[in-house]
Amino acid sequence: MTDIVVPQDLWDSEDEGVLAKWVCADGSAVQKGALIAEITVEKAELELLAPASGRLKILVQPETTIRKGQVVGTIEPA
Amino acid sequence: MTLALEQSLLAEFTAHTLPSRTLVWESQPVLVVSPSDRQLPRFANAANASAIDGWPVSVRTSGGSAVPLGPGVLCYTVLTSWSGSPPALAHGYELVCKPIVAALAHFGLSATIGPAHGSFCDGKYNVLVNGRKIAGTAQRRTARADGGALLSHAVIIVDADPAVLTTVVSKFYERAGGDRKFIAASVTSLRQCLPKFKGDLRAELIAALT
Repeated sequence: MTDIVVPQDLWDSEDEGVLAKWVCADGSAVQKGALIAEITVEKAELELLAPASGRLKILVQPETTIRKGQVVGTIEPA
Repeated sequence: MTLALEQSLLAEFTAHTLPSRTLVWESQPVLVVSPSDRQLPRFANAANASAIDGWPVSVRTSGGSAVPLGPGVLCYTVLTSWSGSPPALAHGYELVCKPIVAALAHFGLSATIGPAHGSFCDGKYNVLVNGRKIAGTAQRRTARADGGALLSHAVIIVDADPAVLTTVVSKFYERAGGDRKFIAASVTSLRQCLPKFKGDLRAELIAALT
């Protein structure tokens, strides 16, 4: 299992972000490097890519406030 | 030029590392909303009603909230690619704010960057004249394994009526069930800042931006 972690360098300030939406559904198969979620910080929409291939498990729902380094989901072996 | 073309160019900048590109463009009347606005309880009804009023709704991919585009509103877009770590958010906003501040200086206006409380689509990186918002900004960043691309765009109010624009946005949120109130006086236009200007304001602004 691979954690989906909000990268520390996704944005540079200490501001919190909002998980705007999951592009892929919970339980769907995803490929490493594919766009899986969008995060909003200070009117900027940022992309979160899948860190591994497998089945997506969503841990944080859309419109939830998040921080850098937070685990928002996992990728489980298909 | 449309938002769709802007997105198409962003896809090119994501796929390839390209030299930065700047676009200055205008749109037909449209109310561009952010992805999160689609979650509003009566979004579909509000979008239909806005279209009947002459402001069809389009969802953009950058952040923020609803912004009206159309005659009298100029859009300024910068596209760039990067490798490695993404540039600072502030840098992305500087890409559009600095040229706008410089262009306004061409007209003798002193502009600053900051929030304009009560303005539609408010944020930390508006361009302000006398504390009132004359341009708003937003970003979209795309990612790839070794870098990404940045679309930073601004909306500059040239000679559209800020009160009309504010009403369009306020009506949308009222109809959609969003709890947002806006103050027209927090927004200005280049025309309002230069009431005695006799030339072609739009053409001179475009020249100053490019």
